Amino acid sequence: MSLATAANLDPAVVARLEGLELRARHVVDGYLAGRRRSRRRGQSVEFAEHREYAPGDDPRYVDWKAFGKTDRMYLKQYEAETNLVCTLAVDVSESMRYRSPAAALSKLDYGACVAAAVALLVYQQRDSVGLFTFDDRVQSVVPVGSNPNDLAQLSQVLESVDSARRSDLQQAFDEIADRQRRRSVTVVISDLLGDVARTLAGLRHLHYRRHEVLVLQVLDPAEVDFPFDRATRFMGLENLPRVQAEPAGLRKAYQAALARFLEQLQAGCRESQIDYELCRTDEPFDAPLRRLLTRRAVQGG
Amino acid sequence: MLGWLAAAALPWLINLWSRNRYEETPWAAIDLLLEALRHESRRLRVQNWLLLAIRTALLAALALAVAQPWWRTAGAGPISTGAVHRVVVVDCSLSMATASDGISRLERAQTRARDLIGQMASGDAISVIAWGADATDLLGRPVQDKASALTAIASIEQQDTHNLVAPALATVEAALARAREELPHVPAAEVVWLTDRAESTWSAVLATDDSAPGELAQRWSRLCEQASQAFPMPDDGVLSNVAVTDVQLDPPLAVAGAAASIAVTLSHWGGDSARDVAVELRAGNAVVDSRSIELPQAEALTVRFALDPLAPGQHAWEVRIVGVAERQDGLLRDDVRRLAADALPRVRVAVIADSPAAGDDMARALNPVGPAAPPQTPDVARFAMANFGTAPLSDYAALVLCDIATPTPHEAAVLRRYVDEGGAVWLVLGDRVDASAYNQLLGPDVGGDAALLPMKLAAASAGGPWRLDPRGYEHRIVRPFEGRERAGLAGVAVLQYMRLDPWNEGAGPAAEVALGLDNGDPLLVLGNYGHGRVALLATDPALRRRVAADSPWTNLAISPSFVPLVQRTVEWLLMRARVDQFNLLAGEAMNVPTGLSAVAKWHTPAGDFATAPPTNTAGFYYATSDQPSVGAGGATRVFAVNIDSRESDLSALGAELLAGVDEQAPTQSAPATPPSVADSAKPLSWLLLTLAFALLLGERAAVLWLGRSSA
Repeated sequence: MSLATAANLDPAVVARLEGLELRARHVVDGYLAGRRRSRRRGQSVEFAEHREYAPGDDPRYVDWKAFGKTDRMYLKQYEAETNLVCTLAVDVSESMRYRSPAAALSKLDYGACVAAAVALLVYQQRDSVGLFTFDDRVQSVVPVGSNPNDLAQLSQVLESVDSARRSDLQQAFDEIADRQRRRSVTVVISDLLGDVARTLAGLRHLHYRRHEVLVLQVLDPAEVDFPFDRATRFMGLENLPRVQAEPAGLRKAYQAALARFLEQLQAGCRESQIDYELCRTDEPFDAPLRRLLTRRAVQGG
Repeated sequence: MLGWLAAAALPWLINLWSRNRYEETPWAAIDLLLEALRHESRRLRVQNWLLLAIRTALLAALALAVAQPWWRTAGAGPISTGAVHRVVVVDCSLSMATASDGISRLERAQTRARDLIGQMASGDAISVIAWGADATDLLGRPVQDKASALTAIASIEQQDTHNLVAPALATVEAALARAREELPHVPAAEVVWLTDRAESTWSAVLATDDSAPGELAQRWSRLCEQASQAFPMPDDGVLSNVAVTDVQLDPPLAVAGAAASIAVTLSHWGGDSARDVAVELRAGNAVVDSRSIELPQAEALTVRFALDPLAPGQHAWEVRIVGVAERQDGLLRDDVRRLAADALPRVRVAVIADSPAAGDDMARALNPVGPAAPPQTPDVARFAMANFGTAPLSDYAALVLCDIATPTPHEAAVLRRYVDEGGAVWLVLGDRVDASAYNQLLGPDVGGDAALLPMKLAAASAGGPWRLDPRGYEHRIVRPFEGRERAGLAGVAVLQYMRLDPWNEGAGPAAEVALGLDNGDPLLVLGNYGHGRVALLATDPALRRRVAADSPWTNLAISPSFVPLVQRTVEWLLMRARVDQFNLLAGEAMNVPTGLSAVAKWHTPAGDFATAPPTNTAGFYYATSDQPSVGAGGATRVFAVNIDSRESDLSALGAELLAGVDEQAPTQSAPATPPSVADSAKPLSWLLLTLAFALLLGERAAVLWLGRSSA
């Protein structure tokens, strides 16, 4: 990966860009350039065009007939089918606004960027994308559509989030499940902070409605590392209480509590065949995208 | 200093203060934080308390180290705070003049005292007591000011006195009591005795195994309960000493025109025999006579200097030892002794009796020869009590009242005044004596005047015979009879006598019993009154009785001892006014004769004084008056002040013996002597500093370990 590509995926660099759409294109360009693979390696059988072979391309797609005729190696590229419906469910509750000094983006900004990037990729595959934003209930909706121009509307919705409410993931997921008419790949982007049982119940509801659910849990690096050393008064977001503590002495216990919390989430997702990924807001954007899309590829979705 | 302990509260204050020093941050994962807090609360609480305890102990150790505490090694409690009230008693008596390497013991004591003052920590207090014949608290109260204490130490001067333990104990007890009252925050007390521990002084506080402890030993034990006792001055090893221990005129009463001699007693303690010791007799600045003698080891030797017939007036002699090697003579101040005497005309004594029979024997004993007697023999006059009021009593040096029935109040008053001004009275008690009238008129006066009688007269006793008890020949009057019992007092029988009882304490003078009876009752009793002296003879030696059928009370008058006994008694009575008040021991109060009340100036070895001077320094003291005559010597009267030679014996008691003195005392209440802070205690500061350093390292290690274990 070149330096320019790495910069495209660096949250610190992306944070300097104005506008979610621009950020999404920036991320997607970096992501695709880094992959050095066909942009649309879809599962459709309808041929689209040839592209000259580049090192790293899968040799299975080399058009050997063309090679025989022209003595040059081309790859056959196919039009993907547009029957994929992707629904993005982005948590916009107050807790998603948290950004520690070490992070370039808040969890909401990071999640919105990932969501926009995914939408752009889906648009580019000519599939359909819809958007839900939620806290304790669905706040806004962008209907499913396949027109790449819808990215602007989607971005506008994500940028205009003005919620400072407490999240209720089960209630929100139930509402999203009820509102979706078509089976879809539902990408949930949230910090999932809340009652684990209720969160899993909501996700299972989506899964029960035969949606293919991908969960991307976004956490701030401070929420993972707990780097505080001095006495700190933690002001609870979403109307949670204030807590005074000596963090140095609490770090180990906090991280153990976090590990138990994540383990419960992951176990619950595994049981319900829900894809789960954890990412930190200081990670490059290709990491969550790759993990999401690779998982989809492996599962043949 | 212990205020620094308040610093130990610093971690607590920091802990409370830091509660308000939280940084604030928004936080989403509050539930996880609360769960961690619930999980860790017990461990965190323990950790916080542990760190708080370490930090508190660290500051406490530092504060204690700054306070310079001491560790007492023998049962006086674990740790003192270091604040000590120290009573420094500086011995300035004669033996402290002993020098080695050119430095006297007193100078060494003062140096040690200055060291102690220099080592005073903040919060310490000090009292300084100069101890000679008396003990004086030079500062009057415990002080924390080093400059005042140093000034007091510098003001202590060498004295020629003998230490008395009783006033020292009283002054030290008073200083301790005052410190307890004024400085209740100073818990520890220590008495530092800067003394050479002269055996002659300190043996008084030791109780032997076979005797009950004396009053001083008991007081010493009580003092040891109040404070630790320290004797920090080491032995200097000087024991050998040569001294002039006594100079006496013989006969003691100098009579003008009579031959006399001076008996000089020389003593030698320790070391080898001193050869070629020169003894000089000086009068004024001239050497009158000298002898060269060998002074054996540990012996006393008497040397006699014959004098020419004395001219009337004052005489002053000085006896001095010269030529003794320094190693044999540790103390030089006792190498000289002085004598002052008045050579007066023949002594006149009045024998007063109401019947010729009553005074015959006494008068004959006073002057057995008659007018042709030598000058030393008294000139006896006789008259009846009826003439007492008209007789010129000042013409007589002594009055002998023989079996006088009852003095009138006027006669009693005249007697009191006569004795008070230096006269001598001898009361011979017979069957006419009205004991109650004597006691009333010559006993303690209702106006507060002391009793003229040295003892109270009780009822007459009959039924003897009783034999005389010379009471160990201790009194100077009977001392010559020792070894001559058959020719002296052994044959005397007493058939009747008047019993004498002591006055209530404080009512009368301290009575000296020169002679007693074998039943324990006193027979010849003497006492001082004013400038004079009084004697009581409890039996009537008159052989002829008023009633012929009556038996004599005693055969004393026909005993060979009668004449010398009477003459020595009169001599003893006269010596107070004519010898003793002009020859004093250093430290004794100057009993200025009545005739010297107009003295304008005193010139003494310690300087000039306008009033009666202290006698702490040996030498000749001169009283000068504007009046033409202040006694036989004219306008200037000379007094001889000599050292008390008890401290010429340089033997010392071991410090350990004194430190453990109360263990020897068979009192059950006496505890172990608290060890001395100055000598037995050990500084604890280094240990506390080490502890503080260890706690500092421990605190850092605990912080790192706890931080790592929770990271």
